[in-house]
Parts: sequence; C-alpha cells; structure tokens
Amino acid sequence: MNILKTIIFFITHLFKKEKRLYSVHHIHPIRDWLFGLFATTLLVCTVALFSQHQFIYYRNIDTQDGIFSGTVITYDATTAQNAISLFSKRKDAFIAYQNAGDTTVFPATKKEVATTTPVVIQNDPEPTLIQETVSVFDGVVSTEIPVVAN
Amino acid sequence: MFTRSIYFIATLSLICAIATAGLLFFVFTFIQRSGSELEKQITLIANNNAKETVVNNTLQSVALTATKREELLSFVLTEDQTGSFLNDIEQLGNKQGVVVSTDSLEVKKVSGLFNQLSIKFSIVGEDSEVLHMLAILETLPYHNQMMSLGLNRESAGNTRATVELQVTVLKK
Repeated sequence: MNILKTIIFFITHLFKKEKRLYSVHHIHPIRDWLFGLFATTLLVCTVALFSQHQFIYYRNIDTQDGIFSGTVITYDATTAQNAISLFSKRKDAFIAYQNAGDTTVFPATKKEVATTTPVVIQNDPEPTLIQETVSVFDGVVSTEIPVVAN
Repeated sequence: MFTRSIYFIATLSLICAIATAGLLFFVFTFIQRSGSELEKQITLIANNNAKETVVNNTLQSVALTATKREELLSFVLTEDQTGSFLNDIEQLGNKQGVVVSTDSLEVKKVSGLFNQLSIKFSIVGEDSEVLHMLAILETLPYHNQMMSLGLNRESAGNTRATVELQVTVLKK
C-alpha cells in the first residue's frame, strides 16, 4: 500500500507548480528501481507469453485438415460388377429364350428337350450337329445343339 | 532537492508508460484480429483443398469406370429408346407367333436420374407361345419389373395375357 500511496501522492502533486516535494519520505530509489524493473519484467513476460501462445496456436493450423461438406460420390465397384453380371446373365437368358423357341421353355406343352442332356436318336450312327441361326436384338447369333446318336 | 525536471520526467514517464501500454494493446489486438482472419483463410484453403481432393478422386473414378458405366447404361432404357423399345417388343412377339399390343403407357416421374415407365401389354396367341413370350419379357435385358400378370383363356388352346411392366428410364 506504500507504493500506491506514493503513486497517488505523485499524481496529486504533479501538476501543482511546486518546486519541491513536501515529504521526502515518498522518494525511495531502491524501491522505485525495483518497482520499475518489476513492471518491465512483467511487461516482457506478458509479451513473451502472448507471442508464444500465438506461435504455438498458429503453428498447429494445417491446410490439409479441411472438411468437405458436400456429398461424396463413391463408386461401388462390387455392386456395379454384380449388376453387370446379373444383367449379362439375363441378356444371355433372353437370347437363349429367343433362339430356343417354345420347345425348350415349356416342356409341358411340347416335347421336352433339356439343353444339357444329349438327345438320343435311334438308327443314326454318327453324332450330328443341328445348327440354327436366329436373329436377336443385338444381331445374329449362331447356336449349335449337339445331338448324339445311340 | 526535487526540481521541476523531476515532475517533467515523471510526467513524460507516465505518458510513455500509457503510450506503451496503449501501443501494446493495439498490437495485441491487431495480431489477434489478423490471426483470426488468417485462421479463416487457412480453414477456407483447407476446405478448398479437401474439395479439390474429392473432385480429383471423382474425376479419376469417372475416368477409370467409364467402360463399366457404359456397360451398365446399356441395361437401362433411355427416353430416346422408348419408342423403338415398344416396337421391338411387338416385333419380337410377332416372331414368337403371338400378337403383342401396347394397351397403356404411363411415365411416373421420379426425382433423380430415372423415371419409371409403366407399360401394359396384351399378348394373344397359343398357350405355349404366350408363356414363351412371357418368359422373354421376364428376361428383358433392361432394368425392369413385372408388376402384374393376368392370364385369360380366349378359346381352346389360345390365351390372352395382360402384363404390366415397369421399366426404368434414364432421363435426358
């Protein structure tokens, strides 16, 4: 409180046109020097702390840590491949149905001919191939149905 | 002992101290403000970098998957192909020995890239040929769904089938 009193004393008497101070007890060089050094040290420390804080804070900001807020479109290769396989099979079946005619599709109404089972024809010594050419959506394809003689 | 110069020095010191404190406060505030602005700019750059990365990845993905996507697209009807699709179905029916006629056609608007085309066909012919034609319709190499099927006996050996197909159509 002594320092505070001194400061108040200086301020109150500063602008009074007096040639001297009334009380010499308010002047104390060691105390004043210590006060000055303490204030300077405090100032330097404050600046140093602030600078360090700013440096550390802005050093950690990275331009690579951005956030993309939009919708990321991902290509699901597995699903795409599965879809292609599925539709390719459907297309093959579609072509097969067109080529086969109604005989292989609905055996209940026509004679049954399984595509994987050879047809046995009596009195034919050599296996023969029945070749048929039909038109489909995508062009002309040729199919060969193996016929095995007994 | 204490002259006016002391007052002058004290006043000057006080002014200097206040000026220094003010200057420091101004500098601190300025640095803080500039820092905030810098932070905003860095965040913006980082977000733009992230966006650029996503765009580059997407472009790369688009280039790499062009063939596959083209192949997938061949299994989806486009708006331009709708007319020829109906003709093809009717011609296909003729080839199979049945009469295929289009009873109704309705486009159901759906948000996104695709619409749904609802087609009702009537297929008239011999039983086996009608069933065969139905099998062909079931395996159409386009993304579609058979929504309903009705079979009516027309006469001995003849059947009338009414089919509702819902075909996915790619918008222009």
